[in-house]
Amino acid sequence: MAITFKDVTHVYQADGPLAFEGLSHVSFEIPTGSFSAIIGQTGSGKSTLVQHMNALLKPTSGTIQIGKRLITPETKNKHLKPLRQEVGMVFQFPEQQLFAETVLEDISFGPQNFGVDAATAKKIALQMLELVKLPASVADKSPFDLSGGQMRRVAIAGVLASKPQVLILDEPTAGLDPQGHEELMELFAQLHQQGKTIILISHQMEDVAQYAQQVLVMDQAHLVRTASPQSIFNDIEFLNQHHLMQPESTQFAQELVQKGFEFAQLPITETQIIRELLKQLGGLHG
Amino acid sequence: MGKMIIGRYLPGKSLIHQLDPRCKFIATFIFVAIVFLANNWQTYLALTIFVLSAVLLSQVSLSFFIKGVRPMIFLIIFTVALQMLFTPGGHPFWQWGIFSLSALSIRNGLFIFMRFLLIIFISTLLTITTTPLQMADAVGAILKPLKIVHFPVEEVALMLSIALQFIPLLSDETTKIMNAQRARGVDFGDGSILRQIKAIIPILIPLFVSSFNIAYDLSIAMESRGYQGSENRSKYRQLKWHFQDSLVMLLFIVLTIILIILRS
Repeated sequence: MAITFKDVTHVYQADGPLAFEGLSHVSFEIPTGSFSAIIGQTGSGKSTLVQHMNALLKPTSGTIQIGKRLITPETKNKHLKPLRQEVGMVFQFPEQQLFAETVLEDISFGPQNFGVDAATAKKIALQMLELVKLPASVADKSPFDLSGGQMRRVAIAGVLASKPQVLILDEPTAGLDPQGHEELMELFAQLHQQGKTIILISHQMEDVAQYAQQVLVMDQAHLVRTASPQSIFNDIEFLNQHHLMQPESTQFAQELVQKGFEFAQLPITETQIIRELLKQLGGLHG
Repeated sequence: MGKMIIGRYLPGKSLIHQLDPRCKFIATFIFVAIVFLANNWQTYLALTIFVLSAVLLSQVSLSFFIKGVRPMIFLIIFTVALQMLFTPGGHPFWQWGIFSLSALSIRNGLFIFMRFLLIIFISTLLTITTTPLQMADAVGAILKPLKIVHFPVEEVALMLSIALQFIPLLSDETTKIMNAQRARGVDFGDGSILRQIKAIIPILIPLFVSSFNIAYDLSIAMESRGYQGSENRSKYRQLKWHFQDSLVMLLFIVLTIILIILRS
């Protein structure tokens, strides 16, 4: 499902004395099956932006096309369920949304809301448990007895269980240990390969560099640039201007440049830098 | 988020905003008491002029005060109607069973209406120009004399200010959790009553869990910074009684005297 924003503005507390713009005239397009990343400082409007993609927020002006559905400022709150089934959203610290008595019940909550019968929902829940690499033994435990990292996986499984075509991830790996982080990112990459459209909000530029095909840069409610990670992470002036960091590999490559190395384009991932260095040091044969 | 207005406070720099919250608190109470001194049009006029000039001084648009009346409107209409229909005396020019209308009862109804309006306006003025935290500090300060009877004034004030600071936090949390469950296909405010009640559970449980977590973190943070009960603690937010606050108190004494002279 493609998502197209056309001149979308969102004003919080529009009638109040403290009205402020969360989004200002944002236009962009996310193609079907792509992996997009949204980066920007805290408070730049990233979360506001993604909450428009499943109509949790509606634009104050402008329109959003999600698949065949058009969201306008006049869109009613009813009949949005099918949209929310198609566009899954993993919020920041999603473990806070857990509530059911058992892990299995919590994961099957989403599908059941979308009209899947209990038996099928349970079957899906067990599959999801496996997908997020949790042992089947936790299925009947209370989600509140799990560790923080396990709770995060249960919550993500709960979103995946609705089988969305578009998956929005709002800093899904914040606060996880490196191994958990890597496993989850691998899972998202795998889902992307299966054809899902992925939209990732992240402060981890390494992830953005490694997985994203398209990067949206937000700053103070404005979308300041939409481009490939390669071109954004090579534009140091632009990054500094919007208080963003380069991925570690790019920073390292830049230090190498000062020592006399030359790169046609600064590498942005580990694989890229290793390949480039092997070539330049003459270690790559064939 | 995070920028929401707690209570009805509107930020501003007017003279009323700058008054000591204790002064505003006491003044509001005095006003509510002396409203009952008014019993003829001269006294009501004096009070109205007083309130309107206070509203003007606060530099807050009158519409916010009228909004303050709205939730009370049914109570006001009901009370005024009772007063009008059941006041005995005077020459009734309309009568139906036990109901009657006379010049006297209409006058009474009108005065009661004015009384409501004035009290609502002045208390709205207090809540619009005073932050909830200032309010909690003021309550703590005003309750201080109760220490003599071993009333835990400081603890109560602390509880009050913590509770107030939790309101925006919990409201943000509720929005977040509701959104998360909406994204998982919950329809709030849709379907039968039973379904709607059921839809509350996925909000309430996470909300309980997270408020306990927040409370737990807060108590750990306080203890790790050496919080030992509030005995002999100095305060970060100092309340200072200025000359203008004394002036306001003086103004209220003058107003009371005027009311006593003018009332019939």
